Amino acid sequence: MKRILKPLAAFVLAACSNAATTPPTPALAPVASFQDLMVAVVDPSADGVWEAVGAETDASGHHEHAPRTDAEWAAVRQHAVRLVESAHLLLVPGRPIVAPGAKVEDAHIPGVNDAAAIQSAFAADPDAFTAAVQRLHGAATAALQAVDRRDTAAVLAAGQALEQACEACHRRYWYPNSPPPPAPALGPAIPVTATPKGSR
Amino acid sequence: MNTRHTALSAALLLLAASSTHAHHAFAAEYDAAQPLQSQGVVTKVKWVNPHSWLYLDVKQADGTVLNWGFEFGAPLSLQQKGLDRATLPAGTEVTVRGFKAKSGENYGYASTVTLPDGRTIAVGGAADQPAAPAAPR
Repeated sequence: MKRILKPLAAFVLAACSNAATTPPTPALAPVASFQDLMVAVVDPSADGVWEAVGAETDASGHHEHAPRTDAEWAAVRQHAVRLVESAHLLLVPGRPIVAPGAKVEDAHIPGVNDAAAIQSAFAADPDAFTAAVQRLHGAATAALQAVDRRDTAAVLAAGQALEQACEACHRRYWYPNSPPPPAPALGPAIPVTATPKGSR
Repeated sequence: MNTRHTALSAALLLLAASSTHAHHAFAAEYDAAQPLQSQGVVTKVKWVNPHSWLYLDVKQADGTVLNWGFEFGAPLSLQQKGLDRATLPAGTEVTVRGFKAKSGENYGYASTVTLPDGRTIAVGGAADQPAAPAAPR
């Protein structure tokens, strides 16, 4: 009996130790890359939320637009649902940055990270990446709740929070060394003529 | 007709640009080496996330008018800075400072907008992003 119990105890101890140090293996291995998810799910879903509410001012006046019918609200809700749940997909361990053989979009631009650099940045501080995804999840959840209340002002506000979450994450991981727009000169305005299309 | 055609082309182009490059690096779309300063008359403002668009009729040296579009801030951000339908109605003469698009087409990135009353307001869509809140640990 002792012969059986001893190895069993050792196995249990080892299992407990592994559970404390090794991240859980996902039940399903991810197939799509981060870039695939962004293009196929995150970006079009965010666009669906952003474009749902807005306004246009022109010579005929000021015109606000927002969903009006049940069907229009349901369509926006689908975008918000996809966006909320896409955050979980971004946190699945083992997801590649790009598909095999593919390149990170804009990687040819100075200061834009390639896939290896993005992967290194994720690995260097996993908690920071989790926090970035939580920020996306929070903004998307606020958008979904606003849609459920049919609160157009809240949809607009959640859309701005979503925009800031996207920008902060992209700036940290995708284009951390690409210079932001230079600071504008704030001197007196001097009327000049813009360069016509195609003249350069 | 030419002006109308140009404006329509610019609008279609901007639709494509705004959706494609909503969250790319500034340098992916705009050229920091090509600063721009345009004085023109507001024809349209699209107040929409993630970035609004300001359209101006800009008079050229030869007397023709070209419609330019400028990407600027999110609607609520602009509103907090005092830019809304009341301050930017169609027909308002404004001066925009910013940067041209790399494509060479008639659109750019607006860093500041100067209103008729002389106020100059920073309006950049990406440059003025609030800092991310502290990450929960």
